[in-house]
Amino acid sequence: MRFQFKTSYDQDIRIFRDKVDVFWYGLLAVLVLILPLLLDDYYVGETAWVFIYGICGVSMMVLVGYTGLVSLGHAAFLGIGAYAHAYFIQHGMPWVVAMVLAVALTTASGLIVGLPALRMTGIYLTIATLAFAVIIQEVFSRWESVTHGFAGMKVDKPVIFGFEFATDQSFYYLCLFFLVVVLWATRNLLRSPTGRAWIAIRDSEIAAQSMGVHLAVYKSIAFAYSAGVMGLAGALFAHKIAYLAPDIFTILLSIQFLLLVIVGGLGSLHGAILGAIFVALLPPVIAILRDSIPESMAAFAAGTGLTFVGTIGSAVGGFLAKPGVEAGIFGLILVLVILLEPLGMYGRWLKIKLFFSTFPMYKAATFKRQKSYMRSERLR
Amino acid sequence: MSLFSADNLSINFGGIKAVDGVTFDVAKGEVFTIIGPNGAGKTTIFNLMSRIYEPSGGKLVFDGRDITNVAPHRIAALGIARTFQNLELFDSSTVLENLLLGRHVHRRTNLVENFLFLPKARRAEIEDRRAAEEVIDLFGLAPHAETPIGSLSYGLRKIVELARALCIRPRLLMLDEPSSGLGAEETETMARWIGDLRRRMGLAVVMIEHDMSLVNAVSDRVVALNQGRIIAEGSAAAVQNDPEVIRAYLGG
Ligand SMILES: Nc1ncnc2c1ncn2[C@@H]1O[C@H](COP(=O)(O)OP(=O)(O)O)[C@@H](O)[C@H]1O
Ligand SMILES: [Mg+2]
Repeated sequence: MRFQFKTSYDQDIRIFRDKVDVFWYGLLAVLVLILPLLLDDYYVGETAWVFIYGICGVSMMVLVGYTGLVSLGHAAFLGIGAYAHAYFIQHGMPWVVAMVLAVALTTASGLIVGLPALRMTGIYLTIATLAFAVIIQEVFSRWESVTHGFAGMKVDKPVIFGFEFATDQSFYYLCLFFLVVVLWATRNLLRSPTGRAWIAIRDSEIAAQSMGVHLAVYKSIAFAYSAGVMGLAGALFAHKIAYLAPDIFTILLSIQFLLLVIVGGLGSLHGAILGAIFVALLPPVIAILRDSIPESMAAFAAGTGLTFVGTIGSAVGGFLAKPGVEAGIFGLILVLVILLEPLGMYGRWLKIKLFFSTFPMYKAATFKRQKSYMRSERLR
Repeated sequence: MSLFSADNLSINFGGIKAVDGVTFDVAKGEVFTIIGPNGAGKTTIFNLMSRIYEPSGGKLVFDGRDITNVAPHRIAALGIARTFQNLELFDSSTVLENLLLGRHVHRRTNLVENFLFLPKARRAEIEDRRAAEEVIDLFGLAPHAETPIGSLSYGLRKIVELARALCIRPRLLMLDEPSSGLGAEETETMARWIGDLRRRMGLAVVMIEHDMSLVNAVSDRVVALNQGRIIAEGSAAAVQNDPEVIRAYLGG
């Protein structure tokens, strides 16, 4: 068993609670820093995707996981950030300036979307964000003088203060840097009155209001911040994907972002990262399975003479290669997670950790939701 | 001079007069209790006082200031705190985090200071924790400070909600059925707290309550409400023995 002894308020506020935390995060930091030296270029590139998705995850986590406002339109913010950044660079602006402007623009657009959304709740808000994303996607395809429409827009490698991030390795570190900055800043907001107000709004708007939280202001801040972070991810995304086209920023991508935070675990930054790992690595894993399952099962069939195994193998491979299967698998996982593990991957991890750290006193009911009355009845 | 007064307060919900011309005032340091059958309009009065509901008529005055048109999120900063009939805690947060929300009206840092977590933000956080910890100690909640609300007993949650309201450092405290869902022993504890708070801090308390032992133990003045109207006013005993009150409870 491991106890946490609190000696000062300061300890409560720190990002890392104790020496054990510092040790594990330090180890993680070292691992992440030397990873590009250990991996093939391909995997370094895939890990950069994890970092970009991680930033997207933080953006979604602030709005959905902490403030409780569900958006199905965040691909639009990613797109605005990506196109704006690419456009500014094409027009000769220094990289840092282009990035700052792209983030400012998405922050402003988040604020504008957020304003009418303040009067809406639940599913209506979600539909409003969806409508916004559809409109923005239309703008991407029609506003050809800026986006080049379906002809697409080429994005060069980032050049910052004269240094070109041309290799997978250098771009990996660039993404890692921004992920760490975003995590740090978000953690700062979360451990201060701003973050507590967000959580309060999520858990009980009426109580938040009677504690003095101005709902409209804090929802707007959440919307703007979330959009701004998404815009930052968009700028990196533009470089990573190298070629922007309107059909990248679809509803499916927005759904994937939602999947990311739900699978990762709502209401924790760890969840945003775990979800990012999941979402970024699932497609390559499916691709690997698509190739390796038929091969290995064919080899097995050849070795044992059980020909039906080979047939099954190629059928599975064929199925995985079909278009739309990936989206289907995402959807299936989303449904399974909501049904079986509503706390997400991070919630599962916490349970495992609690089980071992309190063994043999683990109480199965610790994570049970204890609300038995209806929300609509609570005011009376 | 009264600290708070409601003058001819009214609200309609689609033709139903949930609160119908209610007038009362509460003096500093007084425990003022509202009783009445279910659906009488008691909680609605609280929601009007919190400015969550828009009155269709009447006036609210706090500390000599007309608050009838004050925005709901400004009520706490004026010094008015409340609890809720069915608990409105932030369930995923710990006891300490819930109490820290009570410090929201006392925050001194802006968004940028929070974002960068400047030294000023750190100092403010420490100060907020110190203030919250005082309230935690007052209620003996120290063993539960880091416990998520979800794993507390109902009785403890009621105490946490009271503690959270106190972190606002209010001058007027509104308690909506503080004993509902509590056992006899827990109700006695609650009675002791309410008495204590009034004595120690000079708080004015407006309380909605069904449990007559609690009403008798702490109330200075009692009104009975039925169908949105005040039907009796006076000492706890007088109101309970009022024939119209008895009829309201029996006949509705
Ligand atoms: N938001 C609302 N919309 C419609 N009717 C309401 C609303 N809030 C309260 N009422 C009605 O007002 C009446 C008084 O309710 P309430 O104040 O909750 O009673 P109680 O005295 O039990 O606290 C009830 O008839 C209730 O249905
Ligand atoms: Mg009520």
